[in-house]
Amino acid sequence: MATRAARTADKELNRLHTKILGDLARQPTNRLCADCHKKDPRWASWNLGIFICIRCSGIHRSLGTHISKVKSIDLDCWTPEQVESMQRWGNERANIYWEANLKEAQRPTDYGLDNWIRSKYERRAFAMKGPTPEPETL
Amino acid sequence: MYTLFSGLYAHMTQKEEYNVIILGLDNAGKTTLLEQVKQVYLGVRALPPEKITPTVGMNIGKVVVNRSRINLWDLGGQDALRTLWDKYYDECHGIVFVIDSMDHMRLEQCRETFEQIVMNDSAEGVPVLMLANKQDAEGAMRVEEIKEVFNRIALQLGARDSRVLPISALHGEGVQDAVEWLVLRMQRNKEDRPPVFRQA
Repeated sequence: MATRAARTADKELNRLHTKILGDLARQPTNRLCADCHKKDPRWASWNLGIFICIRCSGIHRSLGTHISKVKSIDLDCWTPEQVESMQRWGNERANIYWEANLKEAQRPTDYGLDNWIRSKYERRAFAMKGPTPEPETL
Repeated sequence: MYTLFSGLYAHMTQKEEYNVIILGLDNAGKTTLLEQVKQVYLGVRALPPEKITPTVGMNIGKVVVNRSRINLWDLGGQDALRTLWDKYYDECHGIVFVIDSMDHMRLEQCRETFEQIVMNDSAEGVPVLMLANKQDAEGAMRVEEIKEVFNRIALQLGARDSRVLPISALHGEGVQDAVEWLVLRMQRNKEDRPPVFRQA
């Protein structure tokens, strides 16, 4: 991990990352929160490669960083690897994998959202069988 | 005569008020800690962790410990929000720095962030308490390991009070000890950083 000094010194890189993330977040498939479908998410889970809303980001943080690593699009400095993960996945590909076996009746309700997110990522209740594939193959 | 008695009454009933800022990297558990402190000292139910969203801005808690009023300011930990921290140093009497013991990857970044706080002139002499949080989680670094990393900054801390304590903000273990330690240090440090006196 680069030092803070090195990261902030690289303003050019940060600007580039902000632009890439901004463009990614504006893509139609990323315009809705990957979990609750709320409009215009400004947070992300970089290891899962998804854009989420602030409420869902709170639930993701409570899962633990071994499952989801949350960052803000606007308030955090990103590393090239983290940005790359967002480029490779995105909400559409991520949900092809994580919601492969989700039935329409199983969509989350506002009330049970935290349990639903826990089922989705911790218990992998709706995910494809087998190991996590390369996102490009989805 | 009235002035004498009313003055005496005011003196007897006044309370010392101390300001504490809670700092640390994002997702360290600052808001969860504040919620737990409120649960211990105010008896209100702490917000469950899944209801706690990243703090953008700050959260405030007011509690009474050892007859002193303590104002806790829990500031957001995201990169861009950390630049706002130094606006609070002048007015604070104590600093709590929360460390995520599960985050092995960012321990170094955590140390650098802490170093910047203690090197700031406006925070000079303020007692600092480092809390190794998430001690309940499997795979958490032990306090000794964390101390080793932070001991390298010990020289910059000089004569000021500092300590690393293990806690679990989620379950509340160690939270009361931590608060009491800090309150005692702030009370001892009141020559250097006088509290605000307020009527009860």
